[in-house]
Amino acid sequence: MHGVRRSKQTPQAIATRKEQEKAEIKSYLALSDEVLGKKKLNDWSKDAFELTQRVLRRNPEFYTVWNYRRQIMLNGLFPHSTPEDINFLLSEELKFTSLVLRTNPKVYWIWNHRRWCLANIPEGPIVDDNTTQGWRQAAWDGELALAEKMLEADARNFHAWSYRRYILADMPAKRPEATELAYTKKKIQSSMSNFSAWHQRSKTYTALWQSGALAEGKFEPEEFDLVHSALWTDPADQSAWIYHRWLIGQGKDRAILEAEISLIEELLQEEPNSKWCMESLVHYKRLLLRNHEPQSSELLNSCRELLQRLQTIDPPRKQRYRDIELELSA
Amino acid sequence: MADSHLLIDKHVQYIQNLGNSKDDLSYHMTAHLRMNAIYWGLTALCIMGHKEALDREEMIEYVMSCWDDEAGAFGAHPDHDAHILSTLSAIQILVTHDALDRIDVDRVTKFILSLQQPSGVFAGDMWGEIDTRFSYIAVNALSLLGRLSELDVEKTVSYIRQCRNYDGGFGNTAGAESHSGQVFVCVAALAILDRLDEIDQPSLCWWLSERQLPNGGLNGRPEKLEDVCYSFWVLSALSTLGKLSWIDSDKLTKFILSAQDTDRGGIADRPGDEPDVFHIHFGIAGLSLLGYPGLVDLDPVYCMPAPIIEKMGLRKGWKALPRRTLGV
Amino acid sequence: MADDDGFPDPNYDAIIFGTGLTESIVAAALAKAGFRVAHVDSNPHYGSQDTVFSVEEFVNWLDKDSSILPRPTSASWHGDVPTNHRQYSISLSPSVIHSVGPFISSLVGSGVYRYGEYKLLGPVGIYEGTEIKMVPQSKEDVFKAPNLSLVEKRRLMRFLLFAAGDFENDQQLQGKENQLFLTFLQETFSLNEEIARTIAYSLAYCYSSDEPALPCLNRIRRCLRSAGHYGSSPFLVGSYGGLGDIAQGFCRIVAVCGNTCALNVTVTSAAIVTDGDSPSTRYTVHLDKFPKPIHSRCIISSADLLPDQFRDLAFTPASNTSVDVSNPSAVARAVAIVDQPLQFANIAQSGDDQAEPDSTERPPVDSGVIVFPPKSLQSGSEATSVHAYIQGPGTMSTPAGKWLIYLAMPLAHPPILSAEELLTPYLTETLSKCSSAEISPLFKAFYIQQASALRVPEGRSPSSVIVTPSHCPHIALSGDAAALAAEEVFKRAVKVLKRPDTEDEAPYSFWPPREKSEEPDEDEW
Repeated sequence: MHGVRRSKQTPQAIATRKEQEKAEIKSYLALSDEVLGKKKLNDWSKDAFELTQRVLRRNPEFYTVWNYRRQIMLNGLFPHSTPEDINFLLSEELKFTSLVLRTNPKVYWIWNHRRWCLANIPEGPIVDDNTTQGWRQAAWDGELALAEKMLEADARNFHAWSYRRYILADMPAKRPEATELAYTKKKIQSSMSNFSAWHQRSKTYTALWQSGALAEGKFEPEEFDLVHSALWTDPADQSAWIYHRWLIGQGKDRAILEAEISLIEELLQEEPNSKWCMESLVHYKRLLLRNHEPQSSELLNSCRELLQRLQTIDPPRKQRYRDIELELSA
Repeated sequence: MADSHLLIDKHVQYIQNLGNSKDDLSYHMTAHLRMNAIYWGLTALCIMGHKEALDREEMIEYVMSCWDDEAGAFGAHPDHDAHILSTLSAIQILVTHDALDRIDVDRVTKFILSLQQPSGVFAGDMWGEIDTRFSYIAVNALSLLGRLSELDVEKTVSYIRQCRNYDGGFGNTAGAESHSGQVFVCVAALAILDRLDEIDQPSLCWWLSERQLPNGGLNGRPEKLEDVCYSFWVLSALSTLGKLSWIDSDKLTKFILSAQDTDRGGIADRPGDEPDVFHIHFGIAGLSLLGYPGLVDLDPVYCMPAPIIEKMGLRKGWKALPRRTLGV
Repeated sequence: MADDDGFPDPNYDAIIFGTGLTESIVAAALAKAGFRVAHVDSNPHYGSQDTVFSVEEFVNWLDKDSSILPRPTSASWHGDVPTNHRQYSISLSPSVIHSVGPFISSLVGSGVYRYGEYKLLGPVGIYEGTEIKMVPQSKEDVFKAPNLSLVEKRRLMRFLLFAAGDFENDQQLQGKENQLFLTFLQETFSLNEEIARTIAYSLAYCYSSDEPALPCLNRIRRCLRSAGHYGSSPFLVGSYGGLGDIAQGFCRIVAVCGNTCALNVTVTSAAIVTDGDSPSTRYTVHLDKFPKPIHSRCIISSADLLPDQFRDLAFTPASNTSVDVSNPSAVARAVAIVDQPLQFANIAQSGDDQAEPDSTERPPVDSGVIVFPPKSLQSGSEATSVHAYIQGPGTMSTPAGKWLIYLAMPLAHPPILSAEELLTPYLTETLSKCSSAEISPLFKAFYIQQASALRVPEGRSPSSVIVTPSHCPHIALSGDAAALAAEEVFKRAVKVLKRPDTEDEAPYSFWPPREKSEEPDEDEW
């Protein structure tokens, strides 16, 4: 039970609740027994199909009933259906699960059921003797819209992000990867703490590089501006710092590394107690030491000094800073 | 109300009462989690030193009544379909009770191996949902069954590798955001497979240490709220990688204890919330790794009592905090 | 309880004169707490000084109709009354609503929110250097702002964080509570003058440059805590004219609870009936439409509608809480109707997450506010700021394809210029900055709204004749001021009306308690 406030209940109140629940338990168990009984008998009728819907409305976590529902479709309904019918049935199925999903946005089984529906949408309709992808494209478009709607309600719902990635990867007609840069930017701009969106942005760049749509290691021209804006707006927000670390990567580009270090030093001047400034400076200066200036005692000393300060301002992680200090001395 | 001590008696009682809640609607609505719930309750009892609080024979009979003979594995409840989630819980319960001889190891092994996909990841059941959780479950279960030699290790590891992110963490599928729960499963799977070299340890341990919030609790992802269940997931990975000292264990201990329900027993996701057996299990597991006095050692890789895993010769090189003595 | 002649029992707990927002909230709260009230207004429509008019009613009022007091002065209007004039809701009290605050609490607590619709306010801009610039109202706005340097972003955020917190105990404010706000911003937070002006005029909605720090900070905190509640904007816009329509919703509650409500009734005579000691004072009122006099133990009235006979007893409860703004003695107002969409050239709609951040084509503003700080317009006011408030068809206050523009300028002294002369430069500039096409209004009107005439002497001892505090004309605070005032009046009325044997005031909470629902958060796994 996540996020359900505890309420002090008198024994009397508990007894009253239990009394009220009696009828509900009875009807639920009857429903549950009925559906499992039909399943045992391999009942693949329309009646059984409707029964599963009633059970799932009451309890969308009952995975066995989702399984049964799919079995009914596969064995009872699909064999006597035209592709048109199957397409209609599955789009109705998606509508039903949208309803359930709205109140249960984090139930694995529902997301999983949608994937199964999508995978079973037939090709069609047939236009001028050619089989088109019209049905499938319409379903995928609808699913993309749904995932985005779910992300409007909860921008961090990882089920919705994963599902969205699956939809995009599997679309009958692929969207250009670059549209994903615009989407993640929009999500970041509506909440800069949304690390899920920053993460997705990093994956989008990686995909663009892999496909050759963008030269390896290249970003949109304002990429650093976007991150800088976030760092300066709220230097205590981890999201942009983690993304910044991805942008810098192994720190092979000395010019970028040095420019970023000096910018963070400016921010530290404005915000002298910023833990994330100090922590990042240690990381980037160590990259500079490792890759470009292995002999610099100035860098080494600056790291040591920052690590000392970090031990005072961020005591929970004191041991980590000590361990890094030891590593520097080794 | 919070307390500064672990209320073992109350939690034991809370777990015992779970089986007597058949007049509670939520008991029936959570039947699909029953096998997991028994594993959570049993393991928490073992760690608190009260394994006997639930009847062994009754529990074994229940587990066996969930056998799905068509699939050759366990469902969560009698007549529920087999799933890898409930199958691991069943195996863990039987191992804990030294009753593995009750199951058809060949068939279960076959069921698990049949779920591996061409990419190397495992599905949860025949319907094909994939997740690195299921990879861990497969690895853990095969290891407990002594059948790890039948697994294509390279293939399994290669999918986990695909799920590794630049922050060092792991997501539930390739491309997904790092999440403490997925970090636990991926690190533990790699530990069982002796492949911890696949991990970018400095980055991951940095990311894990940053899960601790000012109130001492741990969150699952950057800029999210704390939750007792992450106490175990984050701590498991940190202890497997030998970096438990990278967070403030006193503050975390206090946070977990403050999420106890001092009236009825039980531990919640955070102070003031309704407790449940899932959070008791992960809260107690976390406290054990933190060296809380009087608890039995928990193996962070298998998430089972450490003495059992040691006896089977499966212990990996994890390091928990030294057990403190009472009153200190 | 009806008499033989079908009229209700003439004995009430309270008689309430006026259906302005404050009086209507008090009436509804008393009705919900179980008191019997007679709620009457001499006007033919609900809302009193907060009312909503059609265009025709509006020009009638400007020209001659004396129903709503105080009468407008310096009135003029031009153009044609549109044939579909009933599809416009012209508010005499155009105001936005904080998403969190006393007014929204009253809307929710009373259930009146169900009668209307609410939309998030669109963009807020500030006019500086002949341009309309975006006003950052949240962390995300600061993050996105293209015209702020990194250092400015940091300093502005540091201030916003301070202003959202418990600044009363913050060292940075100690001893500077009465410092001029603009000076405080520049000295304590190292903000440049332009940002300081943006904060003072378009986050604190200051009327002038001489306001002290503390009340301004209180107003900003209210704004910041409202942002993000229903969306990025801190403000909501009420449908069908806003506050006036909402006032009517509160009146409806009074009637729903089985009380007497009547419009268009005039007091023919009124009397105080003292019967021994003062706690048992009774009031008797003859109303022209009522066959019999009605009686009550308490009188509540707006200053304008209080029967003369009760003046000597009248008092206004002192308030411990306020919206931290002092009311001007008058406000110059303008209303214009245009048939061209309006755009804020440099501003993405903050209420509209769908807008692509990079697109150059801006959607028309359906609702929005432009602040003109003092000295921002050459031919405008040196001393005070002017607020422009736009409402489009989405607010249901105009028909499709039409927009309303309200302008308001607070006046400290009787002006030499007419309302039209004062506000025409602002209207011209608003139109020219909000469209690339040349727009001339289909209709425009100007007037001066005076504060209520009756001033009750301060410090008069409490009685059972309670006069509601004068109307707050502020664009962002009108509703909150009415709700706070209503609560004070309600508490005083309960003191008078509760049965002497009940010590406990708990049963008479301002609104009956509602069950709060908790929102779950966090990952399940």
